[in-house]
Amino acid sequence: MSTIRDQIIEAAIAKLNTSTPVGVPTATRLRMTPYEPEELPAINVFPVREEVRSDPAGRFGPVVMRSMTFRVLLHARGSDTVSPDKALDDMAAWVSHLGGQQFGGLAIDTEESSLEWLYEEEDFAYSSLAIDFRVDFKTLKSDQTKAA
Amino acid sequence: MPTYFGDADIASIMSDARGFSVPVVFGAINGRGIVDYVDKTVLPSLGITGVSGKVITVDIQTTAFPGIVVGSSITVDGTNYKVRDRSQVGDGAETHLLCVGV
Repeated sequence: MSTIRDQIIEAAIAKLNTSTPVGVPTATRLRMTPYEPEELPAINVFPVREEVRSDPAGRFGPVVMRSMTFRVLLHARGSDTVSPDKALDDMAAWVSHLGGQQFGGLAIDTEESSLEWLYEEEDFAYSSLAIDFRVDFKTLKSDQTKAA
Repeated sequence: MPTYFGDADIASIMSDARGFSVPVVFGAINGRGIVDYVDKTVLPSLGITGVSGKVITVDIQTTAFPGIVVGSSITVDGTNYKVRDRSQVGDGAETHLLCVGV
């Protein structure tokens, strides 16, 4: 049985890969290796950090409230006709649909918490956008696979 | 146009006969340059992923290509690029161009 955290990540990726608009690529989970330029644009999803605090209430024993931040990392490249930040825009618009998600009851709420753009020009003008989402959910204190 | 010590030596290094250089075209100028393609991972996040880019550098004889500036369009070994940065090296006889694909 996977942790609630893992189920939320999988649900977020499934959401991004359902009815995806033309031009928006398939999202993958935690790609570690660099993309080749021909693979761009690209969407990469992975957990970043989590804060945990006690919640004494709960029917099945001590409960903790978890605030997990996961990152949706977008990569693109610009051209003579499209600026590298504009090349990220369609993906950013689609990814914002994760805001407000409860992922079928796994989460209390999901909010965009920050966006950070980075640029570097080598053989092409590359751009990346890290969109961090904070998702709040509860689990048993002693079992991350059990929602509370 | 400034003059550089040993400028003729640069021309000799760049000549076709040496086998180091490739054709470089800038406007009506057909010359030669030494090109390097060096892989570089750009824009990693948290130490992972990123994109496998390429640093494209072209060394030219400064006096052979008057007027090259950032934004100039050039053709290097048959491929079109734009100059994204340039810097003279040494006493200025050589110019180091960084190129971006178009």
